[in-house]
Parts: sequence; C-alpha cells; structure tokens
Amino acid sequence: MPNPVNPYENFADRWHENNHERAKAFFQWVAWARRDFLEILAKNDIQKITESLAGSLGERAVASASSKLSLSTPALFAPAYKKGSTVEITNPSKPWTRNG
Amino acid sequence: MDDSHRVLIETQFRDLSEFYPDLRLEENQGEWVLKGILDFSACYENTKIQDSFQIEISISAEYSKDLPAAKETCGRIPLDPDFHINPDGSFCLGAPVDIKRKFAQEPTLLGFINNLVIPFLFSFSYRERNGAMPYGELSHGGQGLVEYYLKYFGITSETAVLNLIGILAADKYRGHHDCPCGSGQRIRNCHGNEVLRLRAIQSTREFLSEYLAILLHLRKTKKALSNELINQQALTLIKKEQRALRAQVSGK
Repeated sequence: MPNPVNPYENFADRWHENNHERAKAFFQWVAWARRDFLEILAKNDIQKITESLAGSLGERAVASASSKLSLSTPALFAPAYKKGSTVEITNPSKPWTRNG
Repeated sequence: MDDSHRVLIETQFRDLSEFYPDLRLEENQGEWVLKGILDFSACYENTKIQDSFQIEISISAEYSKDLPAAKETCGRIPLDPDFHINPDGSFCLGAPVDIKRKFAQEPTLLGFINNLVIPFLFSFSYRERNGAMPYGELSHGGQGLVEYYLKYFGITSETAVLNLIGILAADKYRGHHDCPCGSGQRIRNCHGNEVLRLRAIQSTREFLSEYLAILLHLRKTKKALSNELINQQALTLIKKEQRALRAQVSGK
C-alpha cells in the first residue's frame, strides 16, 4: 500500500505486528470517516458539518479549512439578488414574542 | 480580539454595503454594531412595499454561532409585545428554531437582513397601511411555540408537541420508541426525521427552556391535563435544570 506522504515506504509494512493492531485501527478509522461523510450528506449547516468532521479528521485541519471556505467562497452563500433590486419575501417567519 | 472574527465581520459588512450603503459598522471592545438607515424595497405575493427604518443591529463576540439582534431606534415601532418587540427592544423575528434555520441557509449579515429583518419590517409597514399582518403572527411565549410546532410537525395535539420537544430537551431520542404523536408507530417511522432536524438546530438547554415554556402554557390552559403532564420526565428535566443553574452560579 503506497504512502502518499513518503512514496518509498509501504504504508502497511508493519500492520501484522501485535495481532494486526495497526490494520485494525486503520480500518476502524476508515469506517468512522465513511460514516461521517455519509451523515454529512444529510446536513446543510456549515457549523454542524465542521463539528462532525472534526471527530474523524481532526479539529485543526477542519477549522482551518472551514474558515477559508466561508471567507474565500462567498459563492456558497451567494445571495440571489442584485444591488438596488427588490427583496422577494418567500416563506417568511411569523413574528413571535418571548414573554407571554 | 480574534482576528478571524474581525475578518469575518468586515468581509460580510463589505458585501452588505453594496446593497445597503447607509448602514455603518462600529466596534466597541469586541462588540460590533451596525447602525443607520435601512432603505429597502420588498415584495410578498403581490404586494410591494418601499420603506426605510433607522435600525441598530448588535453582533456579539459569539457571532455567527449566536444570531445578531436588531432593533429600531426612531420610536416608530411601539415598544410593545403586541408589535413583537422583546423586553430589551429587539425584534422578535420568529420562533427560535425557525429563525436559526433560516439564518443557516445564508449565514451572513446580508442574509440576516434580507431573510429576517426585512420580512419583519415589511410586516410592520404592511400592518401600518392595512391593519393586518401579511403572513400572520404567533402568540406570545409558550402558546406561540406550541402553534409553531403544531404546524411544523403537522399534528393537532398540544400534548404531543410537549412530548416531542421533551425528547429534545432530555436528549433522549430512541428510534424504536413509540412516537408521541399517538400514531402507534415507532418514532423513526413517524416524526423521527422532524425531531432529528430540530436537534441539529438548537442545544438541549434551549429545548429545555422551550419545553418548560410549553409546559407552563399547557398547565395554565388545560387543568384536566395537569396529572398527565406532571410526569417523571418533566420532573427529571426540571431537577436537571435546577442543578445546571446551581452549577453555573457556584462556578462563577
């Protein structure tokens, strides 16, 4: 199995040690990551996606990717209206009051 | 002050200024405020309204996890719960989960103004002109929450709303349990998706306070239901809330 970080190394060369400990850990991680990616398909909230990915991919990597995403990809949240145009109100919230 | 927070707010403000150039951004010790005139033209069904309001929008250090709060500063909207103004003067834009869901669809300052503030101001303008609310309104407090959730779940039983929100307040979703709506089906085959969608929007604590508001409302209006309502689950929740409050106080 090639190691993308070091192409001269076999990523799996010591997997059989300690009753296949590393192999088991690796496939467990793959299963978790797979499950997380599948769950994410059902979500549309960037905050939630960030939280759930942090579990399998690490908080630092996910936080840095998501902050770049919201700053550099405003298209993801691109408004559908142009300057000076009329705001189309669709499916408005009914106003409420906290204290009854 | 965290730099990425500043960059986020300043970037979003630049986008906003292109549409609403009369709003300015001010910073005061980590708290940000948008102030000025919001000049807009908006259309709902076949009614178009052009209007402008002097407003102030405060953005907390926890933005965009916490939503901004908007208020009107010229005294045009009466500071009255009947006009959907909170005790602190801010607009009560809608049921909490409804506004969080809407904000998440376009989580920027511009999105907040276009999708939440302008529809609110539009409905006030419309009411000034026509004496009625264009898209209705929710009652105050727990009753309004019940109205919102009845429609959200597509059910008619207020007790079922209480018990569905109870699942979220206690963080006890179990797919194989019976659905509280009374259909006799397991919740995963009934209102499970609606419950899980709500769980992604708000914290358990926030649902707990909604649960208590709904419980108080139902106890006030339905004496006959009170025995059914004071169940073990509710008592556990209230005790849990008291413990959390105590822990908070002693922690400070």
